[in-house]
Amino acid sequence: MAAQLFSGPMTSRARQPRGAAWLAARPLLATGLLLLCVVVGAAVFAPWLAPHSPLTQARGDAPLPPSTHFPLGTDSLGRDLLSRLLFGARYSLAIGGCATLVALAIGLLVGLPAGYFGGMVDGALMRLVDVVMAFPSILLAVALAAVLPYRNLGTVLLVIGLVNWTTVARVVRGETLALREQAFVEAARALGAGPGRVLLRHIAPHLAPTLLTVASLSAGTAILLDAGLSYLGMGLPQPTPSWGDMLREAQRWYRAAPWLAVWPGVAVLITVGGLNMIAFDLQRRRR
Amino acid sequence: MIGYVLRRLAWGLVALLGVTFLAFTVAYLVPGDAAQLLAGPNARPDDVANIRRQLGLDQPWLVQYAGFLWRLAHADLGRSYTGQPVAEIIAQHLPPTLLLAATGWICWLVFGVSLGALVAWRRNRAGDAALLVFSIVGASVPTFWVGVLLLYVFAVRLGWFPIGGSGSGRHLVLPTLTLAAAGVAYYARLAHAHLDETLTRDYVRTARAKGLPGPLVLGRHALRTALLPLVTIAGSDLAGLVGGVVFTESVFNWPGLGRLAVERMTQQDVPVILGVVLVSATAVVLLNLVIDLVYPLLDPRVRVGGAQEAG
Repeated sequence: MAAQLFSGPMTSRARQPRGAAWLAARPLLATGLLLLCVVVGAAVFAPWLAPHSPLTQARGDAPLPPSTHFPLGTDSLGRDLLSRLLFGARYSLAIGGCATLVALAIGLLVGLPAGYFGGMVDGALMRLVDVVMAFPSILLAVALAAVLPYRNLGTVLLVIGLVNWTTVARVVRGETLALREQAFVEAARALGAGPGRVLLRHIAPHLAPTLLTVASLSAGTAILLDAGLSYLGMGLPQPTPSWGDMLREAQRWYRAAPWLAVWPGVAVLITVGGLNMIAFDLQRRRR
Repeated sequence: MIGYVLRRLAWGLVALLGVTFLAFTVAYLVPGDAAQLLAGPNARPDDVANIRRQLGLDQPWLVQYAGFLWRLAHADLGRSYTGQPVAEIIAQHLPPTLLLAATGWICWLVFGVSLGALVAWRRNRAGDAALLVFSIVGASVPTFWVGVLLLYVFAVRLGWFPIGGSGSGRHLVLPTLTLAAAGVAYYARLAHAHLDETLTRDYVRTARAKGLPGPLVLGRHALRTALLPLVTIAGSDLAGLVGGVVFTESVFNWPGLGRLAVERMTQQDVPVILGVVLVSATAVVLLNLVIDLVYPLLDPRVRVGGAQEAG
C-alpha cells in the first residue's frame, strides 16, 4: 500500500529552524521520535527496569492478576508480564532493524540497476517485483516458514526480509529514474565514471533521505509481520519473550486472564506507531 | 488500443507463469521427502521409491515444473498428505474467504471513502488531525490484536456475538469489524488526499459558483475524478484479501483459506499451503489484469493517451 505514497524526485528544502524549535514545528516527528525513544530505552535498560527475570516461573499454573509484586500480572507459567514486555522490546527492535537491513539490501540491489539502466533490465526486474507482490505478504511468509527446516532468528529475519523488499525496490527505482537525468549525474558520466561508480558515489548518497523514510516504514511492517507470525505460532520458539507470542497465549486465557491481551498489543502499537509517525512526517516534507 | 490490450494480456500470462514458477520453486526446495511422508514412517524403501517414481519426484527440476504446469492446466493441484485432492479442499474453503473478503472490502470503500470525503469537504484542522491520528493507528495496529480485543469485549463479556465459526450473519460481524479497522483508515486517508487536491480545481469552483448544492458538487463533480485512481488500488486490494485475511480467520476460527494454510502449516502439508498461495496470487494477477483492461473505459484520458502504460 505504501508504494503509492512516493512520487517524483526530491524538491529543494526551504531554510529550516534548528534544534527544539525545529522539532516543535513538526509535532508528528517529535511524537514518533519520543515513542521510539521510549521503546529503545525499554530495550536497552530492560535488565535494570524489569522487576523479575523474563524467564523465571513463579508459583502456580494459572496467570496471576496484577499486584504490587507483579505490576502487570503473570502469564500461565507464572512469568512476570512486565519483565517479558521489556525484554520483548529488545527482540522486536532487533527483528525490525535487521529485517529492514535485509529488505534494503535486496531492494537496492534490484531497484538501483532497474532505475539506472532502464529498458530490458528495468522491465525484467520490475516484472519480478510484480510477481513477488502478487503474493499476499503474510501468506508468502507462512509458506516460507512452512518449508524452512528449522526456525531461528536467522530464518525469521530471512522470511520477513524476503517478503518486505519489494516496496524498497520500487521506491529506489523511482528515485534513481529521476536522479539519473540530473546534471550532476551527466557530469560524472562525462568525466568517464562507469555505472558502478555513478550509482554508488553519485546516486546512492542522494537516496539517503528516501531510504530513511522507507526504512522506518519497513521496520514497522517487519515488526507487525513478526508479531503476526509469532501469533500464528510461526515465530521463534519458546521461551523467547515476543509480543506476538504473548498475544497468542493471551487468547487461550482470555476468560480467566483478560489483562494478558492488553499490554503486548499496546507495545506493538507504540513501536510501530512511532516508526510510522516518523515515516509519515518525512513523506509529507518531501512533497 | 489493441496494442495495449495485447501487451497487457501477454504480461498477464508472463506474470501467471512467474507466480507458478516461484510457488513451485519454493515447494521444490522443501527439505522433507514427500514420498516418505505419503508412504508413512513404516514403509519399506521399495515402496517409497515406487511412490517417488509414480509422482515423478525423481525427475529433474524443470521437468517436474512442466508436469506441474500441465496438471495445473487441468485444475489438478495435486494431493494433500491426507490423501484428499488439494483442489477439492480449496474449493471447500474458498467461499467463506470470499464472503469475508468481499464484506470487509465493501466496508473499506464505503466507510473509508465517506470518512475521507467528509474530512476533505469540511476542511478544518481538527478534522485533518483526527484523520491523521486515525490513519496512523490503523496502519500500526496488529489486525489480530484488534480481533482479540473485539472478541473479548463483544463476544466473551457482552455475549452479543458468537465467539467464532461461521454460519450466520452474526458470525460475520466481528471478523468484518476486525478487517475493516485498518482498511477504513487507509482508504479514508487515500480518499482525503485525492479529494483535497481535486476540490481546488477550477471546474469544482465553477460548479460551486453556479450555485450547485454542496453534496451535488462533491458527488457529481469532485468524487468522480478523485476516486478514479482508487479503482486500481481497490481492485488489487480486493484480490489481496483472498490471501490476506489470514489473521482475521485465525482469530475467529473462520473456516477459510487463510486458516486452512495456517492449520496445515503445523502438519507441514506443503501441497495444500502451496495451493492456497497459488490461488491467492493468481487472483491478484487476474484481477489486476481485468482492472488494467477496464480502466481505459472508465477514464477517457487514458484512452486518448493510448500509449500510457498502466502497470
